[in-house]
Amino acid sequence: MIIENLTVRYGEKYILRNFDLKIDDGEFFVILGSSGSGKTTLLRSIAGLIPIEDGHIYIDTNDVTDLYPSDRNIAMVFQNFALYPHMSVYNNISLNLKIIHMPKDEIRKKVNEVANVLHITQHLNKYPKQLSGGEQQRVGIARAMVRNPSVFLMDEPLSNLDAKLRREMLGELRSFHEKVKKTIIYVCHDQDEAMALADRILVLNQGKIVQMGTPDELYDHPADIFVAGFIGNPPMNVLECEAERDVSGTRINVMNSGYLHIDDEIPEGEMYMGLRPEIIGLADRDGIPASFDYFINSGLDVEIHAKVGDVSIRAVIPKEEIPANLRELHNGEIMHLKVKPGAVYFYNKSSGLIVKEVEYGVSRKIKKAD
Amino acid sequence: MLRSEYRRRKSINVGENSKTYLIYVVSILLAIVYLVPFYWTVVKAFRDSIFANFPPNMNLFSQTSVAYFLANLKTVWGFGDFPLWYFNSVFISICVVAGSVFVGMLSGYAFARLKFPGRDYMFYAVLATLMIPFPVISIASYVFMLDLNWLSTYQGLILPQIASALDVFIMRQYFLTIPEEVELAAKIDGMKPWQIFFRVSAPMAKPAIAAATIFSFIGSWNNFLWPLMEVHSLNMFTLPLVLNFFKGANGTQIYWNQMMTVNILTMIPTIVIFVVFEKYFIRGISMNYTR
Ligand SMILES: Nc1ncnc2c1ncn2[C@@H]1O[C@H](COP(=O)(O)OP(=O)(O)OP(=O)(O)O)[C@@H](O)[C@H]1O
Ligand SMILES: [Mg+2]
Repeated sequence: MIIENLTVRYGEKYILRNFDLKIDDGEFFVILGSSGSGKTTLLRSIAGLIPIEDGHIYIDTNDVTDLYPSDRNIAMVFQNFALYPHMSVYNNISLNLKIIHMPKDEIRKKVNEVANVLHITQHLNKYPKQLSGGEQQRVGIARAMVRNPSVFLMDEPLSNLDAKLRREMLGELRSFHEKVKKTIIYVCHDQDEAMALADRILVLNQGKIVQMGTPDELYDHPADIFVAGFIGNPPMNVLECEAERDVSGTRINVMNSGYLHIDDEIPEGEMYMGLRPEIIGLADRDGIPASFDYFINSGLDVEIHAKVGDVSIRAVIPKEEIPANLRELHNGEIMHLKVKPGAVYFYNKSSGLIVKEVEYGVSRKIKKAD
Repeated sequence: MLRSEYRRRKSINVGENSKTYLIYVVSILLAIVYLVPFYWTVVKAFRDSIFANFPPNMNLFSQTSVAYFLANLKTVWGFGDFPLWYFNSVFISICVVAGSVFVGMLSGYAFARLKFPGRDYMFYAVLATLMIPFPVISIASYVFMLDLNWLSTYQGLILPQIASALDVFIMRQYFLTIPEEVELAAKIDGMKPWQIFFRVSAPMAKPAIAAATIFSFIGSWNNFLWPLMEVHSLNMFTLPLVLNFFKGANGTQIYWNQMMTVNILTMIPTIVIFVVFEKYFIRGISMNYTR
């Protein structure tokens, strides 16, 4: 699927401008962005549901720009289900097949097939309002699946479900994709969902592509401070710092509370530093002093929140490193934090773009070994 | 401290309770005020005497008999062209309801969903006509019908009542509350806009259709002024005009029992319509689509 030079506006406001995108066949492609970033707009212009100002859309090498939505060989799942309330589940799912005059027994076979896959066989004769949210969404997905389209468009299909159901559906969507190997374009604003599902993620902000890549690429090399804060749970710590040239490498002044020495040379001056919570550890006495705030226990690790000055810092401490007396810490008590070896990201203060990504601590050891 | 908290709660409860009582008492009083005339209507239709006494005799069992009612019914039904007049009323109301609800649906949908220049201004213009009482434009309508040579015709009675701003308003407001996504889904399923309207949007708007049906039926069924101006020949009379006949030859003596019998006959269709559509009615006038 190819999008070329797509421009969409509402009134005077341009939502997408000269937008280009290429999505491979069979890819599970997730568009991730915060509210109002233009995700729905993008999806709806692919579906042909809103008029576009300029640009072309190709699906399977066909130019579908001027085709009616149903002629584009797509199926769509909507955020609020959008089932036909006055039709039974069976009719909801089979409507499209009826419209294209498929023989009745063939329709029945197909509907039963997808109902089976999605475990809604026992609901086929009910009406949407007799179903729970999760069941309704399954019907919505069934309605899309039954048509065998070349692209599935899904607009935050899980955002109306509770956490447990959402987890379940994540698994089912993924396994559905493994089975059919069809292109799925999936919109969401939840990074966990995106990481769990995607082959590739596009991070959208204000109608512009911020970064695009596999979940691992985005996690390991966030190209922009927006992505850095968005991908990863708990989110990355973003701290102000100042870089000064040093005898061998660079000395980083972290909020005037401590120094970090790195071997790489980076441009001097003020910038943002990104540290994943996982590479922040507890130190005995040296290290950066911080006042303890609270912690959240997940069983596998604890997420400690502490304050350096008024800046809140998250540290994820693996189980084996949790100090025995953690529960005795009082709010406000002084503790010491250190940076463990790992990736540290530096971002330009005004543009937010990456300046340099360095392996803190690791390269230094290798050098010593030389 | 606990005790004072308890007292405070209790006093709130007492306050709530007396409020509830008050609401009940007022509701019951209102219901009685509305029901008494109906009660008297029914009782009077079962009496022989044409006179109305003051204070009215409200005793259900004094001077009443089914035989009297049947006799009244027979007199009324045989009076003039009563069956034809009844038919006129029914026929005109059905046409007005069907027409105005249909027009209201189409234009309400257009005002809610379609995009065209000046849409909202046009809607406000339609809405503004609600503020104009019918008597103000009745003369103009009359002259219009006169020019068309439509006086004393069905079309002359029906057509002016079909343009109902109220129905347009009810339908538009309701369509606005239906999530647009359902219609988009229908587009993807391959329905053309015309089919989307009839097979998806309109069925979802049943409550609003019910409300519009009831309102326009009552409006047309009870309409007195327009038929009074429009109709110049006896065979086009409608029931509200017919009621007038029971004032007697020179209007000095009202035949109350017969008039009340006509009233009962007149009420039947209204009650039927209400019972049939009542299920949807409340949802319709609250103008809110709920799944
Ligand atoms: N029909 C419309 N008319 C005018 N502006 C609109 C319309 N629909 C969306 N917008 C605007 O376009 C922008 C992008 O909207 P869009 O629905 O694509 O965002 P989104 O990324 O899907 O957000 P969300 O996560 O909240 O669904 C928003 O600023 C929104 O206000
Ligand atoms: Mg959206």
